Amino acid sequence: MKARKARMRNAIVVAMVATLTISVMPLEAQVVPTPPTPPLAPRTPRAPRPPRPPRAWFGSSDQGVARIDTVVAFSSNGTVELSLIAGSMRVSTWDRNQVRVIASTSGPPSLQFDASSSHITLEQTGSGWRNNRNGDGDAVGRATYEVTVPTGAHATLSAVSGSVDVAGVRGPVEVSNVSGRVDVRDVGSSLSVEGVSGRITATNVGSDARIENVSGPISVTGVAGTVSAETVSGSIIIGNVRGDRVHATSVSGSIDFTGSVSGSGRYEFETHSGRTDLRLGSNANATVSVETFSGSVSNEYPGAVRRRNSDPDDDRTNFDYAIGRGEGRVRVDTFSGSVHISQGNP
Amino acid sequence: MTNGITNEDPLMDDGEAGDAVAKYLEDNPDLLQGIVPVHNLWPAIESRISARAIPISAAPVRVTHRSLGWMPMLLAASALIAASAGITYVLSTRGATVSTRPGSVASTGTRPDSSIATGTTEKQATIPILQPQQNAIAVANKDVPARGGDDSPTVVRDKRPAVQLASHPAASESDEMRTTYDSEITRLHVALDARRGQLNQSTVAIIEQNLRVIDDAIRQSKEALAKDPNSRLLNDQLDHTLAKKTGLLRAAALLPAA
Repeated sequence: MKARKARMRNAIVVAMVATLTISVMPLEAQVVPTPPTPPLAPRTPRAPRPPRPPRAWFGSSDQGVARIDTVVAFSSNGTVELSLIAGSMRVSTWDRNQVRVIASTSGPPSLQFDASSSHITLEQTGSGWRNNRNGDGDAVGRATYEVTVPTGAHATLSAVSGSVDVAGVRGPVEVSNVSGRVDVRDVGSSLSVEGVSGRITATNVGSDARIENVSGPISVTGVAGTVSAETVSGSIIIGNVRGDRVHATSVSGSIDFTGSVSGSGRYEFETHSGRTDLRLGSNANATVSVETFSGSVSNEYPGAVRRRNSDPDDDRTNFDYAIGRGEGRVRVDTFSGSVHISQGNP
Repeated sequence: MTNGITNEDPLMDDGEAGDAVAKYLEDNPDLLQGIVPVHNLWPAIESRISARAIPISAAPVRVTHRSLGWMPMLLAASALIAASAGITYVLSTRGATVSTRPGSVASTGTRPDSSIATGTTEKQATIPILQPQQNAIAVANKDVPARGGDDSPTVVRDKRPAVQLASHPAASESDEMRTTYDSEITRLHVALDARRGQLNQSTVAIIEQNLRVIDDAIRQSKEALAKDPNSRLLNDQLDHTLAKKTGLLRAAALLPAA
């Protein structure tokens, strides 16, 4: 019996220890502050794409060609991938299951074209080319792409120093451009644009729009979905957003928002020193919460009721403005940037 | 069965039955051929069944001994798990506390951006944190972000007690996040520097200029936070600006070659 008791006691001890151990672990997870999601590890720069076996060559040189003019059969929702170093690319659509490519370059590097029924690649990247990286661009040939794709195509476009024009593509569009201008119109699906110093303009986007720039300005109007716009010193202009989520941030760039504000919407504007100008529609239905460390706040919206924010951290400017029924949420945070609220077009 | 045991025989007790069987086998020895072992097993069997019975009270030694075969292992395993969890908890807590120091200093703005943090305590000194540089690319342009060398940024010391920081969980979390940002920013500086020669110089100049804009914003936020460390607005502003700097550096490091 004593042995049995001893066994029982041991078993109880084991169970208690195990229970404690198991219970401590989730507690630990709760007590210890969850570390922030670490930023993504810096990826090594993308290695140059290995030469792929050519499916369709236009020209006789292995180094690519200087000019392409062709039409190839293509899936109505295939992917078109275009990239250039310097020059311009223009993408338009037609109602054919074909892609037409007219491309040329004024000098090295040459063009490489690779096509299948669902994927087309056009690059300005000759293997024998050596770039002059002094920034004068003398050694880079300027390429010109005129590409017509099926309406439902998916376009992935990239340029280092070139202009990009896209119109009418109903599939998703992704654009990256370092220093050139980007102009995207009438996109039926989602749009993603990343730039550094060039101007980015997006008009009539059928779904979500995400645009990032550094010093170049952003202008995005007529978006059916959510809008996310981000710059460092570039200005941001957002207008006529039909989606109910808008997020715009900058460090020193100004933010201008014009449009209606829905009762279910969430609109967030954040800048360090940039000016924020909200021109809300006459039917706006939102509470605008403004908080700034040292910036000025002015309100000219008719009928907006100003009240002190309940946030105790209010030794600085910290107000709410109730407009309409005050259902939607508009938040503006600045460090030293001024905030101005007014009535714009409905 | 005429001369043996039959179903019609009267009932016998066990002893009588045994005797009858023995007599029957004795009278018919041919029946045992192939069954009888080659040697007599009985002595060994008898020695076993006649061994001294062990009283139950004496058994615990054996039982305990047998139970100790798995019980200590279970206990040891449980103790190991518990100890491991405990140590992890303690280390995590301490780690968070320690790691809050550099970041917390950053949050109060007492240390310039271009600095390597070392603490006055031994614990801090073993965890140097490289802070973001004021001019990212200019600093990253040095071969390696040296720590404490002649070419390295200024070394400053945090003279504030650890207790002050550990008692503020929200601050600790923010500080930990900023420490993560700082280390990430440092790594991205190195990555960007490695690619500097491949990038268009005018693009690099734009990146540098915007990094200065960001660093200026970070400095302003830190100075304001030094006066009001608990401000949600200022903490958010600083965190978002650090995130912006991280994003810009990452984007710059991944820019296509010119």
